[in-house]
Amino acid sequence: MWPRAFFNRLFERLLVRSIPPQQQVHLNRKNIFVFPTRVGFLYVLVACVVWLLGTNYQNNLVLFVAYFMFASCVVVIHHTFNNLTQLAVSFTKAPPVFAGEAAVFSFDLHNKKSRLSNSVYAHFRASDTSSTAEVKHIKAHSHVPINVALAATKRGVLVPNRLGVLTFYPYGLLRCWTWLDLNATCLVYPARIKAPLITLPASGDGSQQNTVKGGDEFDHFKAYTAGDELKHIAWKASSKGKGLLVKQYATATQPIVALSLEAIDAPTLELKLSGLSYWATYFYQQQQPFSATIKGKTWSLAQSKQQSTQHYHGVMACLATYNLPVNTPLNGVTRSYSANTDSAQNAHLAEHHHHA
Amino acid sequence: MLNTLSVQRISNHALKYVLAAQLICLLPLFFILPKWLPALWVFACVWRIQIIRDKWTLPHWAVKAALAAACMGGLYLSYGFNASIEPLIGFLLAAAILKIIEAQKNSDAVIVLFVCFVLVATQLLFSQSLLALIYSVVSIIAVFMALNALFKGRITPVGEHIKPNVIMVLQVVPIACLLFVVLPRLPPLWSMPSAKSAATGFSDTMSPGDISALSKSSKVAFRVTFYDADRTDVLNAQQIASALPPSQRYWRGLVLDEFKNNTWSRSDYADVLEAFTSQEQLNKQSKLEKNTQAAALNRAQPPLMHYDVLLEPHNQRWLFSLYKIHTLTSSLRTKILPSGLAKSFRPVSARMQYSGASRLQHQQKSAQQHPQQHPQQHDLNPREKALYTALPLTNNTNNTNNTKTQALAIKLGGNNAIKNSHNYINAVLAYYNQSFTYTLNPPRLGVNSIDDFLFVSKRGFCEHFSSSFVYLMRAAGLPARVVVGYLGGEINPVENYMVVKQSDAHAWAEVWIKNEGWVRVDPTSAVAPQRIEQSLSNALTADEQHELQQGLWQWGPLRQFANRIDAASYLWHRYVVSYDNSTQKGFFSRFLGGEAPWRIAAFVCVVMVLLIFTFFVLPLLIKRKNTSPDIKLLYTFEKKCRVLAVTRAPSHSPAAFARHVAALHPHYRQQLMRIADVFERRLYAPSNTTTLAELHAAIKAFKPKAA
Repeated sequence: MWPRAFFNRLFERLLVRSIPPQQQVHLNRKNIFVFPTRVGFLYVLVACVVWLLGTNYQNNLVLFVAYFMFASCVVVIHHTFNNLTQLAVSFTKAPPVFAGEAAVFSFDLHNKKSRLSNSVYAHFRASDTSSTAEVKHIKAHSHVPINVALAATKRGVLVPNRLGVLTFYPYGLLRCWTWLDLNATCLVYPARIKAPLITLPASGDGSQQNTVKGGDEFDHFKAYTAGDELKHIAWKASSKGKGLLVKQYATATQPIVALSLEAIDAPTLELKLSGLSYWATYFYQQQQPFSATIKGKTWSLAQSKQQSTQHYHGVMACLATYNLPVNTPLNGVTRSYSANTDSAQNAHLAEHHHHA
Repeated sequence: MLNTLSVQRISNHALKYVLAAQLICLLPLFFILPKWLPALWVFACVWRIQIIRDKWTLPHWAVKAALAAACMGGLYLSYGFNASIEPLIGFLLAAAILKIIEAQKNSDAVIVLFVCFVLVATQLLFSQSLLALIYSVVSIIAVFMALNALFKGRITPVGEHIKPNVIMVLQVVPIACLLFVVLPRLPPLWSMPSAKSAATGFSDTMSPGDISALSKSSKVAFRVTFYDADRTDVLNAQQIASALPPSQRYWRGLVLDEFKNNTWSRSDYADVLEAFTSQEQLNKQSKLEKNTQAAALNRAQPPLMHYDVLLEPHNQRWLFSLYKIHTLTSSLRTKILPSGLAKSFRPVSARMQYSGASRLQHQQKSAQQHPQQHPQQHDLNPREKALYTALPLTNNTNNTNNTKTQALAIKLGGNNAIKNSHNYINAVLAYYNQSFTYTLNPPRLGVNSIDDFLFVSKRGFCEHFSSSFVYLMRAAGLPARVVVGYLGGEINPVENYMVVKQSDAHAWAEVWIKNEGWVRVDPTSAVAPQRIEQSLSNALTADEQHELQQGLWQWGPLRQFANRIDAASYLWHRYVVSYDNSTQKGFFSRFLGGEAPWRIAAFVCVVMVLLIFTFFVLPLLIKRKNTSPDIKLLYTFEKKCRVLAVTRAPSHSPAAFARHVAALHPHYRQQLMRIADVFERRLYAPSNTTTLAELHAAIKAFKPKAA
């Protein structure tokens, strides 16, 4: 099958040149392709049969029907094209998902013409066509969202293939389509796979929480950081020349769990990350504060609900991109959580912009 | 992607359109095909609907097979093993109907609809009228609507659904017409089974009563347009009447030369002769004839009459021509026979047009006045002579030899007939003139039909006269034959063409006279000259006229109306249905000044540009016109302000603009403030507070003058 692969690559290169990646693409005759479908070829075949009938019977009216069918092919090209043209397509969002789930990419279809667009479909190139999304109609001068699902198999930044926007309207004889690169990305968190959390002495779900919660006493020392409560400074311990230490209490109401790679008992890094993903999500959902230390970066407690969400997604984003080469352009499309991700990414981002 | 669409279940909404489209496409065929097919369609639809309502289930494969077998059996019972096109269409139709029952997916519906396109086309094989074409365009709209419903996600009311499809079809029609005019026509690529329809008009035999039966039909046999000598202009009614008076309108169809069992038919020898005479030989012969004619006679020849015949399908192979046809051209294969007749290679199963030219003979009542009109260098060969003088052999048991007639031939001077043919012919005609009656309802004749007619009944129609006349000629040893065809033709004053009807059917005789060749003699003229000079109905008694089925149409206004309708149908057939390569050439040279490819290309380009203009530019212009009356008034207001050299900025609302002008030109302040006020109220106040007329008046009152 090398020729197919070869032509595919050739076509990809052609696409990059003719429809470069953009935030929003206006569909027009420069980026719309038209080609008959199988139904269309069948239609032409039927027209040929009618023509043969007319010719063999020397019947001018039958010939007229055949010519009508041929002529309609030309007019249908125009109508199918009109259905897709003057749409503006842009990527809106793709909420992060866990590996193994389907990522849902939301796009915005903006009909800029004064006519209705009917039955527009969208799917990613070279993906399972069953995930095709349909928009029944887009009224004149209005927006319609279209959500395209894509299976997220691995953690990391999911960059889908080009988005195919297509239509068969009105008669299914022709396929009118385009391949767009709208810089869509979706952050894929590691799959949640439960793994033992080492810092907790006991095993089992119920006892874990008890030990965490049961500690009304002193738990451990922690180096002082600005903002820690003065009351908690362990003056005695500090006097031994270890610098300022702060007594950490595991309070009965809000016991603090520290998450880190070392705290997960799993054989491989991926499983450890999955374990972390499980626990972080677990605590987040239980609204139980936790801290995490990943790659030397520490997320401490979050104070408010909003902060806790930010905190959670920050941790997850870090888990998602952990040790992954940042080889995909992230044009800052990934919104809220990109601020918390590695500076390396930001550096890359800057570089990319520079190139652009 | 389309795969997922085509495996989708047909929506109920779309299915309704598919069924409706199928019904519309099948309707005309239901009238032609066996009557159980409509019942099958209803049955299939009921089943389909019951499946949708979850009342019935999809048919088991065995049921499907049984249904298919039943349909095949039904077609066999209706048609037998017949190689005509109806069983084929019936088969296609039955298949399309059965598909309805099991059509689950969109792709099934697409197949059903595509078969509909073919059925629309086949419907046109049976009728080629303008109405049929309009109906087929309507059916195509229905099919497109169904196809559209399959590929449209949302459900819209019927009215909204029709509109885009009608627009589509209206856009396609001009392009299809362009293709129709421009694309060349190919000859049939292979032969197809023809439509099984009964032969009309004559058969290739003639026995007493055949033609009188035909005379009662008022159906059109063919229509003829006449041209002037260089085939450029169509002759008008007066020109036709003077060049071809009614008594000259003899349209020869076929020649019958064998008399057996009281029936005239074509002899085998004529068939053989016909088969072995190639067109080249005939051409050579006619050229030779022409040269020798010119040399030998050296006198003014009767002019060539050029005409186009549009023949109604009669499912026979003979064509009709005036006298001996001189040239014959057609898009179908035709040839000229040695007897000077035109013939098509295949039975004429659809309306057919051919052009011919014939040289008129000016000999009618008495042949001797105009000798030498058909000079033939060659005499009849012995074989032909034997053929054209042959009489049935004596049959002793039945005595069917018409002995009395043979005796009459001797009595009228038959012994001398070969030497003095004209005298003998005139004697026979005079004999007819004495006591014979021309009637549409002759009495039945016995075994010796000629004797019975000549000596017992003495009442007959043209076939009796021609038959007995030829018999008398042969009895005297003169080669003679019966010719059947049409005599007459009525000129349609609306479009200047001649209509020949079945009721004009006629039979006459041709006699071989030495040095003159075949000479036409019409014995009917001796009995009923009105038949020849006027028409059949004039030659009949009042009682018999009722049998001719034309009563009501003779009434003036109705007759005029009928003429108009016939003219429209004639034009349609002549210019659309019969449009072929030669008419195409004529069209190109007439409208484009030639048939060079560049002219055709330029023509196509011009038409396409016009179409694009009407489809794209006109809507924009119309849109401008469709703006609301308020906006139009705003435009007039702006125009008026241009006199004061003030133009409206896009940021100005109508009222703001009026105030702006008022500030610049305080002289018109009052009118302008009024305009601003009305504009604002038109826009923002409840609609009943102001009227358009008020705005109109306000703007009218403002009459600025350039400073």
